[in-house]
Amino acid sequence: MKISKKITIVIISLVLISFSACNDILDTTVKEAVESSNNFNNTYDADNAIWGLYGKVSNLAENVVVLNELRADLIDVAPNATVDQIKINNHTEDASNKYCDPSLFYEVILNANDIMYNFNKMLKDKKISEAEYGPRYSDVMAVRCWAYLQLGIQFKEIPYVTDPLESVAALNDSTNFPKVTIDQLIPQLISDMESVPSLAINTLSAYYGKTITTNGKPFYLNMQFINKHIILGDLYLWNDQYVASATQYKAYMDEADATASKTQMKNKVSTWVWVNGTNEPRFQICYQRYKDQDISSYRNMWKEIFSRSSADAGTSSNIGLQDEMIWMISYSGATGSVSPFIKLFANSGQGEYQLKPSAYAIDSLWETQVQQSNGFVFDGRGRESSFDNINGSPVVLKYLYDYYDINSTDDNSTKHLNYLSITNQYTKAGKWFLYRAALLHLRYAEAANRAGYPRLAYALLNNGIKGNFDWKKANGDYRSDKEGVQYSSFAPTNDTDPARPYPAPFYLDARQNDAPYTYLRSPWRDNGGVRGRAFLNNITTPAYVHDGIGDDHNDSIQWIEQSLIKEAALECGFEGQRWGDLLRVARRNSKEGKGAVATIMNNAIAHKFNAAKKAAPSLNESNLFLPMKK
Amino acid sequence: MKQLKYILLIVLFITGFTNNIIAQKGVTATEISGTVYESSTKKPLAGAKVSIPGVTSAITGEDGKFKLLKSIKGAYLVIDAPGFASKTITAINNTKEVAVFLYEESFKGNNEEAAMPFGTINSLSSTAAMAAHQNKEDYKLCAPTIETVLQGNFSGLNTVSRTGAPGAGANMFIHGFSSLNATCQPLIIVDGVQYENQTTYSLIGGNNISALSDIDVKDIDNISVLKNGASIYGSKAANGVIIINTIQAKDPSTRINFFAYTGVNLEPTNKYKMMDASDYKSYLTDMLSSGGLTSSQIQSLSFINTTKPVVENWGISGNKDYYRYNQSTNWQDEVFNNSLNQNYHLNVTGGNDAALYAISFGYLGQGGLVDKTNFSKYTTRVNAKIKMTEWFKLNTNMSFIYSDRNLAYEGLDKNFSPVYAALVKAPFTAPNIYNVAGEKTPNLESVDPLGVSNPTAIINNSTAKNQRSRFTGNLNALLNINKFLDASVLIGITSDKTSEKIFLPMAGVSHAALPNATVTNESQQLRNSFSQINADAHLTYARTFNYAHKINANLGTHFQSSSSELDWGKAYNSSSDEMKTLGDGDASLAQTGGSLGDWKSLSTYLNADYSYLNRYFLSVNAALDGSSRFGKDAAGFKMLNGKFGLFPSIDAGWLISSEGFMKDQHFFDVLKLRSGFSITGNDDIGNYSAKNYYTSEGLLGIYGLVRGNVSNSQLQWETNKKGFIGIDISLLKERLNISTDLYLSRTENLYNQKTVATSTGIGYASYNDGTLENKGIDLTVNARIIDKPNFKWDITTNISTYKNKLLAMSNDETFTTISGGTVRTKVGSPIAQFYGYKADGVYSTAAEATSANLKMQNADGSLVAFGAGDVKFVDQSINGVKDGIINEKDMVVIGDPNPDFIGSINNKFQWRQFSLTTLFTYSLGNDVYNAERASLESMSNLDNQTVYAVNRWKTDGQITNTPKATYGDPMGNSRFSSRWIEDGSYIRLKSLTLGYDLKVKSEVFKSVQFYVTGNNLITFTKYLGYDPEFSTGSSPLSYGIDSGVTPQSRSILFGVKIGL
Repeated sequence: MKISKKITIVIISLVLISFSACNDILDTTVKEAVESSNNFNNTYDADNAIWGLYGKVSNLAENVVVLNELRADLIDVAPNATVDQIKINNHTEDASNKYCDPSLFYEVILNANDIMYNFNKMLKDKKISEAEYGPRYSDVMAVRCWAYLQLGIQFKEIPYVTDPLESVAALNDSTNFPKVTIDQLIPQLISDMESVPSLAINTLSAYYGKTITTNGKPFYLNMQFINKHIILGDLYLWNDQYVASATQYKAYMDEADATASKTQMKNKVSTWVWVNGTNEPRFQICYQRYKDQDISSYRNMWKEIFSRSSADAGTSSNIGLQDEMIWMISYSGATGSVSPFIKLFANSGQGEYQLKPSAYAIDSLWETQVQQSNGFVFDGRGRESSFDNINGSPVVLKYLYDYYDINSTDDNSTKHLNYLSITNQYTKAGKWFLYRAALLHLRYAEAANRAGYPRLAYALLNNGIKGNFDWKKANGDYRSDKEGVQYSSFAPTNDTDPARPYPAPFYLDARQNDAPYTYLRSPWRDNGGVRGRAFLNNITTPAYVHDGIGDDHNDSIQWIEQSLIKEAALECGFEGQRWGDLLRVARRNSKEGKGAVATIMNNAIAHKFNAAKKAAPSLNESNLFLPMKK
Repeated sequence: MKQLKYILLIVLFITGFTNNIIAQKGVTATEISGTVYESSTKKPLAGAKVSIPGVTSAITGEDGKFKLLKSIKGAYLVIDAPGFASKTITAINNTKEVAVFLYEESFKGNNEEAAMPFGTINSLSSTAAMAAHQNKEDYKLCAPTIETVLQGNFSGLNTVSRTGAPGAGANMFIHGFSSLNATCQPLIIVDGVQYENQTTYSLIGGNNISALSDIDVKDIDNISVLKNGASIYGSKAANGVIIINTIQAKDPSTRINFFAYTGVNLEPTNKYKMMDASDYKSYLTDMLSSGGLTSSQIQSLSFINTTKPVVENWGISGNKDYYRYNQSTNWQDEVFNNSLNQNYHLNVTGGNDAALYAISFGYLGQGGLVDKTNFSKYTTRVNAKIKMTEWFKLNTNMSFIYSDRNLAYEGLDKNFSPVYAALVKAPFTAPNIYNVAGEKTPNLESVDPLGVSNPTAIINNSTAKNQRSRFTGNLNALLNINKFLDASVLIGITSDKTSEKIFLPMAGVSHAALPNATVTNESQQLRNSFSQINADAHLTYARTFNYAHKINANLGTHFQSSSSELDWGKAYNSSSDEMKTLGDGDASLAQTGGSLGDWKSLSTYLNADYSYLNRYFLSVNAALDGSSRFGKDAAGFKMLNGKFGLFPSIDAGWLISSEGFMKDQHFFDVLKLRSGFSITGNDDIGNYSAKNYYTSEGLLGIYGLVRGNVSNSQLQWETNKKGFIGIDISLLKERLNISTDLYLSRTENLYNQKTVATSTGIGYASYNDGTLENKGIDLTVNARIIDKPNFKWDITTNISTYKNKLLAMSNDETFTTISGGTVRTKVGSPIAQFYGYKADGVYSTAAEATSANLKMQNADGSLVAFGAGDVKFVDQSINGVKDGIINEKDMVVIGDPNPDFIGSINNKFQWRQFSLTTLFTYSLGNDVYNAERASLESMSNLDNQTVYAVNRWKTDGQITNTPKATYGDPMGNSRFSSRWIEDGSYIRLKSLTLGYDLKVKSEVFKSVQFYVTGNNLITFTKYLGYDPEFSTGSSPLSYGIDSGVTPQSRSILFGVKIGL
């Protein structure tokens, strides 16, 4: 074998130099994750990022519910409560408390900031069109505003972060973490939401309108996403901009009216008479026609708001739950998609029974409500619905419908759970209810009441538009439909002229006329009012509020407002709204000279401790808001 | 990379230029004469070759005298004689007459050949702080893993066996701990190629296995530990370097060595003294009653009720389980057993003028102390050197190793660890079911009513198997360019695969529930593959000018590309224990996971050794390293789209004894000063910490992407700066050799995963933050105490001490919880100190407790007073005030796992053909947190406890140091306190070997050696656990925490080596 020495040397020299020849010799790609350069290149990436963001939102359920309910008056600690929960209940928490750690909220915020930053970059680089960008960007902003609002109503000082925090240098820059209080935060969030390109539903998302099947169950995804009108409406309401707020709520309600030929309108808190075997009341508490004195004909379909799956079509061609549910996150029960509420609330199976309904909520709220016509004293939304006695102890039931087996459907098709039977106690499926029609009505009513339309608020709260705007003639007779009644309006000035409708956004048309003159099917025709749907009497008003409800006397407005907040407890108790509701109204009242916010709040939560015969904690300026874990 | 090209050109230019102008001669006609003696007899030695290599040589006559006619100023005289250790001395200027004493071959003197990154070097010329070892007799240790060889033979290297599990290997720490969160394990170079030795992720609880353990001891030729001066390895060398060279043929003659040993591992004698059946029953009754059960409820329990069963016509009256729960079992005896070891190894070396080869095959079968555990491995190796032409050589090293470990879970796991289950298991239960007639049945008991697995069932029915294979192949082309210049190009491939197979049956084994199911049985598998390509090319320039200036320089570049893949799967609830595959489990419970890693580095390095007159030595090393792990904004030089760090070192040596002014003294044979300063790096900072990435986030089974991290684009290597001073002394004709090194090292830019503000939305971020200091002394003394022709006694002792201190870190204090204990790392203090409550006995009376007036704060803030029978925790005064409340403010440093001294004492006696060697290893002054004992004496649950619990406080006035037993331990008497900190000092007779060299006069056999070896025979310690020597994790934070490890076995083995 003859080897040329020179050639060998040349070859070896080439090898030596070739090591250093290519510039990317040290490049590696992250294989177990997606490197930032490989993300945000197309709309598919964009939708994936939004889906991931909602994945982060779904981790917030426990914190949102515990902070908003345990701090307030409807939920109390159960025997197995953790120390952190006991301290939250007693308002003696410090920053080391698990629930004072805002990390999960900031995970949502970080991802939202990152997505918006990258969406802007994609738009600039023409990787996404304006049309594709708008609804998606707005979606993300809405989620961020919602997360900040949640922080704002709980914590003293909130770092308002908008930077995508790309590198640790950004973490060390304190200008990325300006601190704000709720007073500064809310106007900021309003301006954030006002700046988004679109408030419409993001139907462009690859997931909108889809039903997916996971863990053997179908899930309809439309209710998965936040609604921008509603979050903006809430923000305005927090900022006491009532007309603006009602405008946003109304915009959402009108969106649902686009398909007017439907027999059942969305989000109208509908009621109608139930004739056994002919028509199905939906989400309504009622008695069979003409049998409303007979408890055995009692029917509770209201609780199906919580038991139905997102994909359940019910008896209608459309998804039944969409009539009521606006924002809901489902947990399939598979590993990684576990409802946190089973551990918190259930007292059998894998439940740890940490939290329970407060004695106040049961004894002073639900169990004092009086039903229509028969005078039975209980609220169908309470017992066997929102709570129940299981194994001798009161349990928050709202979140457990997917956990226990359905025992039976009684003669009236009301479903009952069998608390002794759990098909698989480890399958912790469930749902987190973030927003639904009844809450929307109460919020809209709150705005209308303060905007000078307390009758409208009264109607939505009690028994609906139709009944409260059916003006009578001077002789006491009802006016016929065609003369312009059954829509929200000022009282007619005479017996002949139609009533003058309330201006937008307070005009709600509830007219219904079959024959012979006009066939009318107005969107609000079936609205039965929040209490009406629960088969409860209208609230009894003190004299100074009187039946007219047209009085804009301050005390009257405040009284209606208190009634709306109390009704929210009855309707939406345990759903993570209570602390915010109490605080929002307390702040308003405080501005009107009713005392310090902390004092008003302290009086509100004292009920819980009094009813449980425990010493009430003292809520003051220092513990009204939580310290944030750094 | 332009810089590199320029450097290359400049070097080539200078070498060409100097070739032409320097051509002087330094050879003088000075005569050197002298006498060579045999040391043990003091008689002159004939036939010894004395030479100045390449210049002149002579053979000694009958009178042992020689005369060299030429000499060179400062040259080395090399004296070789068959059967004697080669010796190098310096011919001091004008010395006319020298006396040389030669020792037999196995003598360890002060001038051995030591392996260095670029070939071997005589330790006289070395400037580094290093320790070298020739593998001559190591086979007699009968060591299953080569880490055992590293133990006791190298000063400054703290080698601690991980556990006594078969084939567990050891963790190694050079000069203390140079990192907190990155690896502290030294870089390992085998045959010139980096040998990745990270422990691989294991599903088998408590087990850590690394690749090095699979190399066979008898495949090793020599080992060097470079404690300093390793800058040539740049960003990988901060923890020091261990250079291992495998067997090579020294000459073409065929040599065959056959090794075999067999022996027995003995059951441990220092078992925990657990309560027996009757003591335990009394304890159990107390516990159940303090747990709220009434005495009638307790009496009705099947394992308490003492009514014997009677078979009546209508059925059974009495307690039908009486005989099941009234046995007396020493469960530790059930799980530990004696086991057998055997090893066979064959190696062949030889070749011809064109090619030399070394081939080896080996099999090892090592039994474990825990019944049915074992370790077997099959090793093959082919090393060859092929001379293609006069100027072109090819060297190859190839090895394939397959190992198979049947393991047991370790740690405080009463479901799966047979040892721990045996400890806590009720002694009144038995491995087999006893029927109502009191007869033992062949059926194994299932999980007992107290929820503890049946240890015998774990051993017999479960599988925990780890199988590994590693192929390494290197091809090295060596090219002689001209007289002074050589080139080397090397390609090395490593492919390493691990697989694990685990099956934990339903029969007799308790399982923790999953979040979404109860578990009946589980099956787990793991695959881990790692591959690495190393490519290295360098030029070597070696030249001596005027026989005085010696230069040896290497300039090269090294590229490394590595990737790893881990995949694991877990399946649960197959319908039968006979159905063991992953596919047999419940599909809805299946879990899978894994990770992918990918990293690359490029190093350009320079090594230049210069010596003048073999008296003054200077060594300069530098590496310019880039890595895919470094951030794009890291400090360093910007090259190739990345950042490169420069890691230089300089070492100098002065052989004072060769100075002219030393020639008339006869006290020092060798006196040498060494000193150096080096900067090295640690690149174990995570593969992707410097990059932004997204991970998946699931919602309803659909996965979206979310931010995975906040990257640190400035993330860089840890920088280790180290200086040392060393002295080497040889006295009394080399019979006493002393070598000591004093060092001070600082690791800056410590890699740290720091908790960041909650408002960032990300839990942790990677930073370079903090400085850690290590300083210490290594001392090695070896002495030939007795040197008679037929009797020789050598002692070699190593002693090392180090102190570490965290000098800076942005978080002043960090606490880490490990096995229920807290370790604190605080600026200004040693790292990883034990931090807990101080306990000071037990309140004997209620009055004593009342007068102490101490309270405990419950988690909800309420205060409870300590009472009689509770532990007296010390209420520390804070700002001069004792608040009377025992809470975390009363936690103090209660122990330090760092030893005061570590080292070894090696004795070797030789009498005629017999030899006796003993190796003692020791660690003194280190504290151990005995988490296993903390759990076995917690007296908080129904588990069996040590006999300590018999003495528990029961009545007012009882004087005892054992607190009362209360279910759930509401007063926290078993909290992490000084009760669980023990003195972990030990001295262990690591090995004792008696050898006999058969005198053979056979055509077939060249040599035959018989030996008997005892390992770990005696351990002197006050430690109460199984074994004071353990190292469950390689992190300094877990150092000295005994979370339940299998003890190392004592073994006695008989072996033979036959040379053909």
